[in-house]
Amino acid sequence: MERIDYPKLKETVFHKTLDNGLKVYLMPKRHFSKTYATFTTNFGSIDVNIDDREIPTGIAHYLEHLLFHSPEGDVSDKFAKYGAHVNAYTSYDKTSYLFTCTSNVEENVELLLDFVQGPHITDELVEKERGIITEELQMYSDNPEVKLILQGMRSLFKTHPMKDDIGGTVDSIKDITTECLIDCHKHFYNPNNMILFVVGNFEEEDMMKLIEDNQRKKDFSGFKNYTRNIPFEEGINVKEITLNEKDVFEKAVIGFKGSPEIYDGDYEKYRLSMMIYLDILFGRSSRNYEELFEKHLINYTFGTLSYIEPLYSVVIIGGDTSHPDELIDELRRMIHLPIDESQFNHMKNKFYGSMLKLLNYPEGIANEYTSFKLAGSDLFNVIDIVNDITLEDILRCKDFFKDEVIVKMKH
Amino acid sequence: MKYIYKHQNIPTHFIQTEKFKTNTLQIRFASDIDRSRITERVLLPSLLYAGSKKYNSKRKINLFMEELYDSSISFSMSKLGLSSVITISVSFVSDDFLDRPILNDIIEFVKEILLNPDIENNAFKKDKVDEEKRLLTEYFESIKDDKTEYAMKQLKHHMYEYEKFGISPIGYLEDLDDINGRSLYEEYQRMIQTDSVEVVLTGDFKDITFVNDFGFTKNYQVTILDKPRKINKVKKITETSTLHQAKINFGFRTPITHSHRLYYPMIVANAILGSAPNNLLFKKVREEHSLCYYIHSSFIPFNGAMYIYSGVNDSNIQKATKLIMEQIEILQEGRFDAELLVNTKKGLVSDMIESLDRQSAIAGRVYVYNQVGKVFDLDEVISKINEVVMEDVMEAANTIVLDTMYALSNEEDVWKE
Repeated sequence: MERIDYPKLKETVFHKTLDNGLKVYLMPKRHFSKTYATFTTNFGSIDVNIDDREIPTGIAHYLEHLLFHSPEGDVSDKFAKYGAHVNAYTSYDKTSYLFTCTSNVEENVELLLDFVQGPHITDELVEKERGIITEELQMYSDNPEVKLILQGMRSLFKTHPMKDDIGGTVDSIKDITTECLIDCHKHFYNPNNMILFVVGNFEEEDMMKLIEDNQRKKDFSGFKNYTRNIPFEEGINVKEITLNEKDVFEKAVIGFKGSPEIYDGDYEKYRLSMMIYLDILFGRSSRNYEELFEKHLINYTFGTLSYIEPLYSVVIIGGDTSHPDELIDELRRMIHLPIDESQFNHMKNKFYGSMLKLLNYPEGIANEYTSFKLAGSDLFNVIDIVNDITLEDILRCKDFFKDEVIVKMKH
Repeated sequence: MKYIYKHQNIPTHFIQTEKFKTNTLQIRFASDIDRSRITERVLLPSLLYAGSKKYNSKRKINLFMEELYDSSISFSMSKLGLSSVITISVSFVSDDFLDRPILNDIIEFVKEILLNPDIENNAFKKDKVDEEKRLLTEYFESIKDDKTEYAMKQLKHHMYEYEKFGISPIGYLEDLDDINGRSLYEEYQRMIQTDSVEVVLTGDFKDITFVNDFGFTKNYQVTILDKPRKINKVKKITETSTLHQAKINFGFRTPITHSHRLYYPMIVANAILGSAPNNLLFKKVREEHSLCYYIHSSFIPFNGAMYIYSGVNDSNIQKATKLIMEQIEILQEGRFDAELLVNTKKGLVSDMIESLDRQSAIAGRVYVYNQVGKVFDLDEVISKINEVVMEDVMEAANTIVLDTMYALSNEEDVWKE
């Protein structure tokens, strides 16, 4: 077991990659009463092919729902015996299963490993879940903000899987079958495609032993290997579109995308540089943000949404506005303004503080640490990376904002 | 973690702990809720955030806070039972992690923002007032974007139509015309001079005497708990709208409030019904009948109320409603697995313990318990939850009476017999 110390943050993480390929990270925080664990697979809505076969849109999310069933019933009942809460979420590029508890940590970790790795998928359960997921999708389709962002993705991508909603559509999930779900589990839940992160109140040696013993008992021989290979799609799909919706607050966003080539070989540095760039440009302490308020073009719903991922990157900027056309004109102008270079060091201070704040939240630590690991880097090293970022690195981000798409929502 | 109570002119609750990397300071101003002043009370915190004499814009405030290692300050008004509470909350990195200490800067900053607002001629400036009115107006207009939230708001609106408890915590659009810089400044004076003030600190403060320097002295008991109401006739409301998923929300009454002997049994009863993992509603309506994605219940101990809310297809409204009402009967008659009671109590105890890992939750709990005349004592709360037996749950559940049925649906009059 490897010990990784972060003296500046007064934190330590223990790591081991098990024989079956599962990467385990343990972060004891003994002042805390709770323990939080996430078990994450590198499988999300953008994974739409197994070998050369297409799989239905929304299947990662569907599988997430299905894994909560066991031959003995709903797995949350098992966690409830220890007063623990279990949950899960699916995103574009991962599926994460998690629990929170304040006792019986070891039993809960075993339950987590066992239910995610021991699927119980029957025709009857697949059917039952379809009604529930349909209602989940219907709930989101009544949300105009969700619609706006979804259109933004569709405008940016024509065939790339980022164009689709994470949960799929009411129609696409009709094609999901028991066989396909089982097949996905075999492909994407191989331990070598997964990360277990446990943070909270426990003994690291005992915990690692328990996890190893648990894994050693299981046979993963039928599992396949998956390498994500989603070619980037150049060019945009829809330049500008207005969605007509009655009875909503009008909205507007401007969106951009970038290929992995812009990272110039240093993905992590680029991602952090872009965060700082956007913060200087449109953050709460920026002159642009203030000006947009002064012109009555935005309110507190305004913000930037960014996915800077190894295989693609997307930035969407906007929000509710009483003047969609004027807001877009201003954003188009502002995005090309030179950034306030004096804000550069300011942002480094801010970044250090926000990192320390994150360390108060086991949930935040586990989710972020896992995301960074999946992208091939280390959350707690970002303080050093950010310190090394130069003004030139930040200014380089300007090139990202070339071909934009525009989505307005009007009455 | 240690709870220290000190009187620094005003009650000061200090939760001393080294668990966190940040410290928090909350100053809370409470007064009895009043329909005629509520919208001013909503706007006031926004105006304080809009700038003081020295930091006279939101941008300057944000810049200053970010410079101090992403410290954050928030201003808000919330309803606590029958009182209106304005909270100024600051969170900042503990000096232990910094090369230069920032605690004193933070304290001076809070004093400046709170005690030296950007006013002229005894009024907040017109441009700032207009801007906050614009933002509040846009907020009112945007509520319908989130159908779930909107439907909750509407349920409460209809349920509490003629009650003080129903005063909206986000204010009223129709009030805005009569609000100006002067009326807001009067409200500010009232808040500083006559509100009941308390301070809650969490984290690693070496010395808390600085609270004296704020100069607040007023503290008294504000009214929090409302008298529970009796129901004569169930209100049935359908509001039509175009949507993919209808919303069905139900409001119930119970005589049980914070001070009632069945307070803890009611918390357990509500959890079994609709908030614990695998509660009765979740199991029946979602897992067994696949009718919904979300379904929850919540117990409001300030006036004795309970809400159930869910989203279903229009064609399933009656079926889901029937199942929901059946689950209440099952709860009242105790016709559920004894293990559900045991597990629910474990979950509630765990939630209680877990909340002490979150600074905002600690501060909130300590304040609310104090306001309803209790002292928050984790061990006592845990033993009270553990003492609850099946008979208590049934007794508490049997006090629940339906008050209002609200639907947001494509169809009209969905509650017609």
